[in-house]
Formats: sequence, C-alpha cells, structure tokens
Amino acid sequence: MNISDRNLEMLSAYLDGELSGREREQFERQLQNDDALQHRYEELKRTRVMLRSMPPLRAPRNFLLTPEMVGQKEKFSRAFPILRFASAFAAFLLVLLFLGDFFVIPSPVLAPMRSVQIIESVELEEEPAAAEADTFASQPPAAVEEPAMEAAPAAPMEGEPAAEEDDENISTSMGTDKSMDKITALPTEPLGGIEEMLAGTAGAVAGDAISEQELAPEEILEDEMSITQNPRTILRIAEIALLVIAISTGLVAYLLYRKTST
Amino acid sequence: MDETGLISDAQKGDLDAFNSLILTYQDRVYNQAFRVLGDYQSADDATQEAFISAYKNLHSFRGGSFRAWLLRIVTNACYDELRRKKRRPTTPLEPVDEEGNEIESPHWIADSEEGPEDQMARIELANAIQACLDQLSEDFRVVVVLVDVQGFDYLEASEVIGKPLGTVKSRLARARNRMRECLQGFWELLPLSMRLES
Repeated sequence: MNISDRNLEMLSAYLDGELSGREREQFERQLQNDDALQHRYEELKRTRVMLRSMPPLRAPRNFLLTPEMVGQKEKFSRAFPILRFASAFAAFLLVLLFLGDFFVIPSPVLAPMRSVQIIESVELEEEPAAAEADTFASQPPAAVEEPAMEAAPAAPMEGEPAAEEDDENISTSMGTDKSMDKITALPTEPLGGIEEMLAGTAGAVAGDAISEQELAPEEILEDEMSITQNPRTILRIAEIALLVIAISTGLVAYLLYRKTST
Repeated sequence: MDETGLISDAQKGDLDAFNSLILTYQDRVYNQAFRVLGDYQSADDATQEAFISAYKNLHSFRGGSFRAWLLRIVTNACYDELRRKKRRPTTPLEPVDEEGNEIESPHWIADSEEGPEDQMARIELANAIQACLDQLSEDFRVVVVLVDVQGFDYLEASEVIGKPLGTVKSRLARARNRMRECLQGFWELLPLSMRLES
C-alpha cells in the first residue's frame, strides 16, 4: 500500500482539521474513492489517539528560580567588597584624624596651658614698663595685667590734670615706648604726682593698646583659639562624616552578607 | 494578577512574578523536555536551563503566545542537551530509583482508579510510545510532541520551531507515519473506553 508524501501530508492535515475549505472538499472526495487511503486514515487516527492517551507529565519538582540562579547574587557579591573596603577605609582615616588631632593640633585640654604661656609671654613683653613702674609704686603688676579695665578708670579718680595728660597721651602717643619714655622722664617729680603719673601711664598703656590694635592677653588668647578652632571645626565635621560613612557602609555590607548567606 | 501583568513585572526584574509563571508552565515545559529527551535527568536539566534562559532573555519577548515562546526555549534547550548526550555516555531511558533499579511504575503513570491490569497496560503503552518517539529524528519528534502530545495547533507549532507552516505539516505527517509503523500491535493496550471514543 503505497501512499504519496503529498497524500500523507493531506491526510495528516485533514485529521487535524488544518485544510482549507476547498482543499478539504477535494480531499474528502478522494478519500471516499480510495480504500487504501481510508485504511491509512484509520490507522493514523488510532496512532494519534494513542499519542494523545499519554498522561501529561507532572514536573517532579518545582523549578522556581533563586537570585543566585539568575546571577543576582553576583550583584550583591560585587557590592559587598566595595562596601566592606569603604567601611574599613573610612575607619582607618578616622583613626588617623583622631591621632593627628590629638598629637599635632592643640587640643582643648592643652588650651589652658597655652593660655598660661601666652600670658607669660605678654608679661615678658611688658616687663620693662612694669620694672620701671616698680620704681614709682609697689603694685604695678596688677596695673600691667589688667590695664584697660582697671587702670584707665582709676585715672580720673586720682586727679584731673593726670587725666588730661592721659587724654593727651592717648591722642598723641604712638607707642608704648613713648609713654614709657614719659614715665622714665619723670623720676624727679614729687612722690604725690608719681602715683598720678603711674595711673596715667597705665591708662596710656591701655590707650596705646587700643589705638594700636594690640590685643589684651585674653583677646590674644581668643584670637589664638579662633585660629585653632576653625580647622578644628572642619576636623570635627570630617571626623563625624567619616564615622557616619564607616558605620553606614559597614552596616549595609553586613546586611548584604546576611542576605546572601541565607 | 493576569499573565500579561506577571510577564511585565518579570521583565522589570521581579523574580517572584516570573516564578508564578514557572508554576503555571512547569508541567508543560517538563513534559515537552521529557518527551523529546526521553530521560528524567536530562529533562530536569533542560527544564531548569530553559527557565533560567527564559528569565534572562525575557526582554526579547515581544508579546504573542508566551506558552509558544517558552516551549521554543525548552525545545532549544533539548537540542543542546541532545548534542551533549551524543558526546557523553548514554543514560538509561527508564526511571531508576536511588539504588539504580528501574522503576516500573513512575508516579505520573499511576492512576488509582484503574485496576492493576489496566495500569500495567497503560504503562506498557506509554513505554512503547516513548520508545517509538525516541526512534524518530529530533526534528520529527519535536513536532509530533508539540501537536499530538501538547495539543498545539500548526501555527503555534511553527512559532515554536521557527519554521514555516508547510514544514510543520510535512514533518508531522512523516512523524505520524513512522509512529504508526512503530506502534502497530499496541492498539489493544489502549483502554477500551478510549478505543471506543476514537
């Protein structure tokens, strides 16, 4: 029983209802007149029934995908070492900053010591004036240490002439040396005027300090502190920023590690 | 959520959405893989590979039949697996247990409502059909499984194999003719109810 390939295709397609209207009519006429074709048709029909009788297979397991299977773990593992390094590096920089802050830049703990040094240096600068003033009065150091605040107001109380002289000194004197010269130029005056002169000198010193923008020890200290505190503030901000970076990156790295390991 | 929504979400990287699609199609995909490859382990591997590949190439899905697109991927995975099998020692066609003994009654064949004789006949017929399928060339086997086992129409089958409709018709006709020759004598194994229906 020989059936052509074309008839075999037509038979198979006819079985599946895949022939067009005209093709189907033609093939049905041919089928009715051809016993061999009819016999083959029945056999093919049985074959198809047998094939379709096969029970559908059930998957033996679930084929669900995990992030690792589709490469999502790689994304995590790529981010993990970067975060870990960033955290460690930030922590390292933080330690360096702390050490540098402690050993190189004066700390607030050391500031009182510095202020003592500053005061001492100021005292040394004014020592000649104080030494000369010692010759006229027994308490000049106090006047020297706090000239602007105490000595200046004392002048008008002692006497008008001295105060007037003081005013002159304030307006005309150009420096401490001049006023000191004035002090040294008055050793032959009576003792009563010495005190006035001393007070006037103290006032002149204060006036000179103001006029020449020379700072009092406290002001010098404040100035010194402002110079040291400005970079200190920047350092504090940097330290806080590094601390935040170190903690946050470390935390994210830890969470990633936990997520990928589970 | 409907299939289109799940596909859209999966295309955006939502693995859970894609896993929902897997649960819908895994039986069909595994069925295709097993009928084409003929052994459980290879079918398992091909199915898993197909789903991984499908997820990674989901951006290339431009609508249409998702089932056909998925079956095309698993069919390609089967071709790859068959090429690998040719290069390495053959694996048993029959399912085996942990000790390597052949399993006479795979779980998917067992039907609790059938009597023992009917079950035996069904198992024998299924084994015979699978053995005949295995004798077909790969291209013929893929088409006959798509149309006669999976129930695809010609157009969908042509989408899966990426060939014209005429190629599907031709391959199917030849494949069925070979299966007819191979299965002669097994008709009596078909349950009476199915024989009467036909």
